[in-house]
Amino acid sequence: MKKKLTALMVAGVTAISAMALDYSDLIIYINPGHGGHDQSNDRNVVVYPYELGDTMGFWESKSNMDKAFRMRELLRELGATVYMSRVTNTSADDLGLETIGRLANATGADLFLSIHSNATGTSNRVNFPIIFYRGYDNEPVIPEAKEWARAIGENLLTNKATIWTSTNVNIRGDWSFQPTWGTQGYGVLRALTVPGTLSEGSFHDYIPETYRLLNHDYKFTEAWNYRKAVSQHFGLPGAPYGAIAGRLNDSRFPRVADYKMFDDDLLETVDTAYVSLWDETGTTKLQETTSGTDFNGIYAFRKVNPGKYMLKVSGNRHYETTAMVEVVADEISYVNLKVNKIRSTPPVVEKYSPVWKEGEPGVLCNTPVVLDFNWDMDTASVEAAFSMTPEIPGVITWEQNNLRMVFTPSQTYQTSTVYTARLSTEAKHAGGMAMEDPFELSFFTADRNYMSILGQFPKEGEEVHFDNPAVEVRFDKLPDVQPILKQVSVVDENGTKVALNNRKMTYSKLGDEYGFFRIAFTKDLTVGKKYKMTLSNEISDKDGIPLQDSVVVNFTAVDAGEAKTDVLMEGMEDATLYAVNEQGSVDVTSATISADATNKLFDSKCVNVAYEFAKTEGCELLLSRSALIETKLTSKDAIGVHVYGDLTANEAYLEVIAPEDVKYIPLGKMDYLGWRYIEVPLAMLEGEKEYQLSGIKVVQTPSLMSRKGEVKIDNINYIKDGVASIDNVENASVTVYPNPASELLIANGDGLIKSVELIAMNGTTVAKAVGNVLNVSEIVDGVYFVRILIGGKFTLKKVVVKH
Amino acid sequence: MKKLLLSIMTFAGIASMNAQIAEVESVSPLLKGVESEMYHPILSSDGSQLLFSECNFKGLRMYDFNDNVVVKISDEERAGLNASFSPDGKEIYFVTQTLQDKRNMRQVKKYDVASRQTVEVSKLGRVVAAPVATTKGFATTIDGKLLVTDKAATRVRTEGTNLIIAKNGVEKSYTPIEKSAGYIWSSLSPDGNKVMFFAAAYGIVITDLNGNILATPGNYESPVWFGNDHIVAMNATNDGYNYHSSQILLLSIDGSKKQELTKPESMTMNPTASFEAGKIVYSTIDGRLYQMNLKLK
Repeated sequence: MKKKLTALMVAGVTAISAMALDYSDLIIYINPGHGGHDQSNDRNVVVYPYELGDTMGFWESKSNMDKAFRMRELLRELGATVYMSRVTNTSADDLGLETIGRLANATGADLFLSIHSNATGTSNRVNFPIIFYRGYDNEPVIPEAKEWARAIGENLLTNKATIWTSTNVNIRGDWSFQPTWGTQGYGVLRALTVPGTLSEGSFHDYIPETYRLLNHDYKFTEAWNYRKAVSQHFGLPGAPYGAIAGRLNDSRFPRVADYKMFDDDLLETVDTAYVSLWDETGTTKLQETTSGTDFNGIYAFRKVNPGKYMLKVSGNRHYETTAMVEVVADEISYVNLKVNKIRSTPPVVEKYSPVWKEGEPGVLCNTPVVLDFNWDMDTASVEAAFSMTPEIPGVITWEQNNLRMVFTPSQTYQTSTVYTARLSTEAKHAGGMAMEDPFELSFFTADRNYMSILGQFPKEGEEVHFDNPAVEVRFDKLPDVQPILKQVSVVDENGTKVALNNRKMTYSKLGDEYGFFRIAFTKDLTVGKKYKMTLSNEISDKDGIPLQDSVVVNFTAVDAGEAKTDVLMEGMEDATLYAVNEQGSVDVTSATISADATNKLFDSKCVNVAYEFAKTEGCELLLSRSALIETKLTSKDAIGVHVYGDLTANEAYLEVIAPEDVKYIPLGKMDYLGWRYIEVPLAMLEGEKEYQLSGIKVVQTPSLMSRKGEVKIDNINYIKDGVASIDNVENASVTVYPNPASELLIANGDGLIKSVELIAMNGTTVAKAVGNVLNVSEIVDGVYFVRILIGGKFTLKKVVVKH
Repeated sequence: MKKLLLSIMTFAGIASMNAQIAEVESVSPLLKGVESEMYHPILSSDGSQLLFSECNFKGLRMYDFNDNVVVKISDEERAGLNASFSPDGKEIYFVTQTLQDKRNMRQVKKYDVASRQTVEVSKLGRVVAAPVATTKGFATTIDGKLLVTDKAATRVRTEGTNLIIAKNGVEKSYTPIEKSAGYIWSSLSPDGNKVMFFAAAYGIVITDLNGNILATPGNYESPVWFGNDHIVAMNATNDGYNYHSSQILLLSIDGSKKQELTKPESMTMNPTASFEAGKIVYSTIDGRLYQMNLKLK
């Protein structure tokens, strides 16, 4: 056979008749799938300019039949006997599936091929061949059918005039692919007694492919590959001649379309171009043709003797391009060319953005300046000719093969400012012609150029309960959370990264009043260890408006539930004893009191209050107990409360009552997240009166994020004579001076002092400072407590402010 | 599967499409639990024997209703495609297929029911027509050459778009339907006076023995005679890939009367009939056989 093949390869086109004896013993049956331009049993892909139902547009029935005709021609030329199940395209031609199989059997066929093209049936777009044989994957009913399928698959993939999204040979058993009714499989394969395949040659719902399938030269290439698969299947020599085919695209201009495109399909096709085939020296023209008319740029020379040739391509709008090509017998030589458009006019800016008019709202302060040109541009001259006023640093990038220039500011624009982008006449297109007129655009910027943080946890110097900790940041706008895990980092005191759990991340959604993200740590923190959290200034809102600066905070892990020796106030955690006091509440939309067994700090449960206010300011919630706590409190005592803050910055209070008196013990602003131990001197209580705990109160702090929250309270410690101890016992490790103070109050101690807080006798915080120095120059004269955070613990001192 | 079974068994409740031609007396599964993958049934003329094969016509089995026995006739490729009972049911002619250098070679064989012996009755050929069993032998073509052992018998076969009718020892070719992708499923009526075939892209055609069209009952596949005046056929729909429905119809030969014997969703196919025994047998798409007894009204 090898000897014979060699002889045939040198014989040239005239050898066809000599080979006919080999093919003359072959019978091939071709079934062009579907038929009849029938919407219910055909596939009509609507592509411009064809309307739905237009028989000139793409119909799979027609496409399949055209391929079958070309395949029949090629096989008959070699001498084979070929039958087709239809040669016209009417509904009557769409034969029953069993009829097709029986007809093929009756002809005595050696091979059967059902030609189809594919569709995903989804919005996903792909393009590759799939060939089916009867049986399960890798278990064909007729083994030769799988070999036949493989030969088809391998040959179809040699087509370089298309764009394949996968080049894996994809052959499948129809029972595996279509498992309905067990071994039903594809109908046309059921009744066959000969090796048969159903070929989905490509995906006709990938629109660039749809346009290619409208081109006869392209369908010829698929038919050629089917024919070649037949030759290979039987081990017969192929055609003694070759062919040339390819796709013409513009070298730079993008294909303007809203459908999915891959690779060079993104470029404009060059249709109706004149393509000529010349001898190797380019002196004698041998053949000529034109590229396709349906946005495919496909051309072919279907029969060319082996040898070297020169290919010339020219069009009304493109420069002539030449390429050398070598043709080999039985092969299609693919020559895809990118041709340059003739740049005959000066460059102009055809479209631009932002487009802003006087009186319109300002544009976002990170809006890039985009210029779309009529020609692909000389980037160096354009970048030199471009300027922004006021000056602002930025980066210029090029898109769409240098048809589009994008200036992206490196920082946000100033707010409420008119910016002007200018392009001088020094700007040139790639052909060297300069702009005739300068270009200018102006726009006014919005009044917001950075994203604001409304609240965060932790803040600088704060303590974080070690168990089940989380980071949360709240913003004035919804953050872009997609990259957030790369923009938030936490390290421990050794600089080792502390992992955050992306699966435990929650974030705001469209319609929320403010933006936020919350990310839990993967593991608990280590009590006593110091950590550093960094929020990158790349964190931005959905519009890309970033934080102005990065935020770095240091925090310490503590155990908010650290064992205390003080007496517990019993009965505090029984949620059933609380109810909303409507008279004492203002504009509360809803409030739920429950026992929380999941996030409790001690024992089996804590009290959980989930509330929602009707407004963002002026609201209050009072929960009253149906039974008073037995513990009697006086102005000499103190209490230690375990509070779970909700980062709303709303203020929490405990209500205590005495005969003919009610007082609210402040627990501070809940501008933190998680458990915290708060010790409060009860100096605001009156004289010797005895008070009992009667309720919980939440007072709203006006802000976007104050409307909804969830506060929890667990064990309350009773510290008898707590105030007296503060008053009388000098804490040797901390001193506060001067006392009385009028301007600055300074705390000194053995350890690093993180914060100093001035608390009025009614429990309200009136001043707070990070560090050890507190400005009291504007504080009203009086007696106050100073709460000092040192070594992770609070210490109370009594001071006098006097001006 | 349950739905499929239900639609097959509830035949009695089906209202006729156009007319009640016959009364369905019973429907029952055949060889349930004994055989699986049973397709392409062929009844002997007296209805006492039934041939069937695999979906792609591989192998040939015979079920004897009287003895309730299944006999293996062949395990060869294509054996079930064109098997044919002799009129007395004593012989079965069929074609087998082998691959030689990837080319299909076919051969006609004869099975003797009594002795259970198979003999080759033709040489190997590339294109072998479906053998037609006659009273004293059979007829076929091997690569275009006629092989006939009973020249006097009236018989019919098709080649492409040629309807070839032999009577009184003379074969004549007719093309009653010009525009067709090919003729298949040809047969003589039980009384030997009418010819039926299926013209692809057209449908069922009834002619006299001179090829003159007598009736065109409709475009239904796999037609078989049920007496001299009725046909049983398969009415299937598809989307170009898969079957969507398939049912068994009973038709008058002029197509004026039509009765649904099974529902479209029953996916019933390839009927065979014995008017003498008053029964038809058909398969389902998943390879089960059913027997339906019916009596013309």
